[in-house]
Amino acid sequence: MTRGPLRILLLEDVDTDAELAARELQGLDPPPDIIRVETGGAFLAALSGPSPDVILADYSLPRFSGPEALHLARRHAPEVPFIFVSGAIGEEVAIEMLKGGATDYVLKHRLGRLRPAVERALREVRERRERERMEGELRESHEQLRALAGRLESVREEERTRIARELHDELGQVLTALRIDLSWIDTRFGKDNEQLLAKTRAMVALIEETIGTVRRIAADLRPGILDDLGLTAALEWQAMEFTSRTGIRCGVDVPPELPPVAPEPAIALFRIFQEALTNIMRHAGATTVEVAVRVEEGGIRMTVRDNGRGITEADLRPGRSLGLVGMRERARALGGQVTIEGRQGGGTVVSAVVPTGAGDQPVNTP
Amino acid sequence: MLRVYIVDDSQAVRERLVELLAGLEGVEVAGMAADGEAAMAGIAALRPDAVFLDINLPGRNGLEVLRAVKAAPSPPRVYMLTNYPHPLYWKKCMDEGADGFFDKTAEFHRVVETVRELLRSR
Repeated sequence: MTRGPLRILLLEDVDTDAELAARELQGLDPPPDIIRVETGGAFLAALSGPSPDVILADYSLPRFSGPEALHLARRHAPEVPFIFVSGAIGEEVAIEMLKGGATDYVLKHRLGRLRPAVERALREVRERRERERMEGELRESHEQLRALAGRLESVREEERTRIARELHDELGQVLTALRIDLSWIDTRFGKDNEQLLAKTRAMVALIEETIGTVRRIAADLRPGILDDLGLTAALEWQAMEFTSRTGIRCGVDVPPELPPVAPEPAIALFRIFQEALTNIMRHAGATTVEVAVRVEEGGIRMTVRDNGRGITEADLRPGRSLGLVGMRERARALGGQVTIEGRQGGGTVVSAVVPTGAGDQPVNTP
Repeated sequence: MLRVYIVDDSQAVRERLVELLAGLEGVEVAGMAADGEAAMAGIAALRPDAVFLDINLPGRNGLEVLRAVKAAPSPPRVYMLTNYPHPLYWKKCMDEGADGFFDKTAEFHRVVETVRELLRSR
């Protein structure tokens, strides 16, 4: 902690007591530099200067008192250990002082305890600082991880968007061109050529199947609907896809006057919806799902409600599901939040609220 | 002459559309564009009878082009020709005033059918 001598502020009006205390402190490492004060004024002045490493104070003083000194020290130097060095003060007073923030007390007739008490107090300060430093580092690393996760998520989203568009558009266009060429061949040379027609028809079927696959992969990566038609259409599309895949009915309730939602909150809500649907499909045993979107002051709320078995407290425990963590982090990254509640046999409600992101460019709103 | 305008960002598709349409009697390809802005300017300047319009375009997308084109007085017929054939796109385009909506791959033959119908109805 301190380099150089140990600064000890000693509040003591009796010379011999001060000397005795100083003698007891001789063996400290580093050697002590004792600043002795006798009055309240001098004590306060010393507190206003460079911070001492330890404060030692007599309990009873003329025109000043130990408790007052403690009070001042807590106000002006709350981190510095404060040890009473006094005649007998009685157990109750001692306890009162410890409650008031004193670190320790040493009786003048047992001054042999003074050095160990000071050493212990200093050790505790060191340990506390070390703990605080580590807590700070932990907090910082936690924040960094969170920022990194958020950044990775948005990079992933950008990547998915780019790959989806390229797949869909580049490959899609080529396949379309091939498809058109086959039509052209049919028209030109297909007449009375059953063999050729059979071949081109098979090729057309293959191309259409491939186009279907490309469209499906692209939509899985990032539905173009979200970017082209906005959040409402994307939720409707996802609900239809979900129903056709799982047979679970999925209703969408979005007010027609829903204002355009900026891309970031829109994609966050959409991904949270997808995650909620994945959970429902895997765990809920539900037969219906309802997603509702409402505008609230400063934000937009999406509620996904199913009629399944209901998520349990145990399922919600941290570390159980990375999907749930993902949902929460998605919302949190935008300053929103996700709450998940389950009632046994009464379904699960996932409620996400994100700020609408005023000032951002809305998703394409044709 | 039926004057047709083509909007598609894929050169391969544009070329094939031109080849297909220019081969039809009574049809003239009045112009084409590869992006939304150029399409809006070209259509406003050339005033074609019919437009075949892709949805996914660089810059302003086909939906925006559709809305702009249909907002003008006596607009052309506009047929969406897209690789995004989902019903939600179909509905959106029809709401915005499109005259037809075709899956660019599976329903390409409808382009010729549509043009023939237009020629007949003149």
